[in-house]
Amino acid sequence: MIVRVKASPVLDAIKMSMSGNDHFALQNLLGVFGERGINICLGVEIKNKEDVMNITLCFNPKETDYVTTFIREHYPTLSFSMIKSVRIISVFPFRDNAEVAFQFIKTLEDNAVPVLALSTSLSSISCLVPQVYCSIAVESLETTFNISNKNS
Amino acid sequence: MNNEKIRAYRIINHQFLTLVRIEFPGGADSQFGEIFEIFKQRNFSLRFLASEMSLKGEKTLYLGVDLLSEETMGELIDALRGIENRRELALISQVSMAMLYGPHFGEMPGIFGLTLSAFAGSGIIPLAISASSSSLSWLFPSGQFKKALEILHNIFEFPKAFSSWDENSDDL
Repeated sequence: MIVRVKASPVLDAIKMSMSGNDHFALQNLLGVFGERGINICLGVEIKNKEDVMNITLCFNPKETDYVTTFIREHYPTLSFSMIKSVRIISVFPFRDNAEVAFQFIKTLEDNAVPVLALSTSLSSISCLVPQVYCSIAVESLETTFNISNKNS
Repeated sequence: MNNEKIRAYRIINHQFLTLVRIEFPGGADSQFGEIFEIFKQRNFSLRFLASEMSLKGEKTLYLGVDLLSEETMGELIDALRGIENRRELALISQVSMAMLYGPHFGEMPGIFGLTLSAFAGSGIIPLAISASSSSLSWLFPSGQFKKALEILHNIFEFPKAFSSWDENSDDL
């Protein structure tokens, strides 16, 4: 199996928490993202046991000021945090393979890479890491998956 | 967005899943490696996988696997109970997931919000969502799955040859 490791450009991320039974604020925010043409490069929304939605959305840093201002003006009570300079690290292919997931996360843990969010798509397993950990994450994953040509 | 259907390439469904939800308190080391090793040893296919960290640093991990028997669930719970630092462990049967793929989605901002609005308008609140620039995945309570699929088929059009995929297909 030929495995590839890929890193995204530098992005910013917003983390939010809101009631799990009320998607209204998230709907509105995503609607505004869409109208403004903001592409969400990675998004994860998960409800915890207390029915609180925890959400992470990644986007182009040039939109950060707009997003921050919009939330402060329209949802002043919304809890959120803006995380500057993050990268999405992806390994292809994934194909629901628990072995790949294990090798992926074990490598990151062994190298003390903080994972801000984790998700999978059709073909990949991806995580969100601070920009400063990008190199170690990519290099260690390339070592784990025995990738000789650095194509990230 | 106008009322024309949005072209998507594939939709993959897994109607019968067991959700494993594990939560870790803020500041604790989350032993995801140990958890995934347990799943790897049992050769489970990870149909849905997402993890999120709250503003307080608490981590929640969702793993969706093919529906487990009561015996396997009991054995898995026993194995996962040994994970250090976890705050909460729950196995929930049954849940369902849908995954939509479109390599052009990254050039069409707004799809995430559009689908969420459509679901909410029908009283459907996904348990979890995972989005990338080319795919969207949702995890639903099983009772909301059929309606959710109808909504997706109302929003998106699929090439006929690929509109219905066997959930075990390897051609991805």
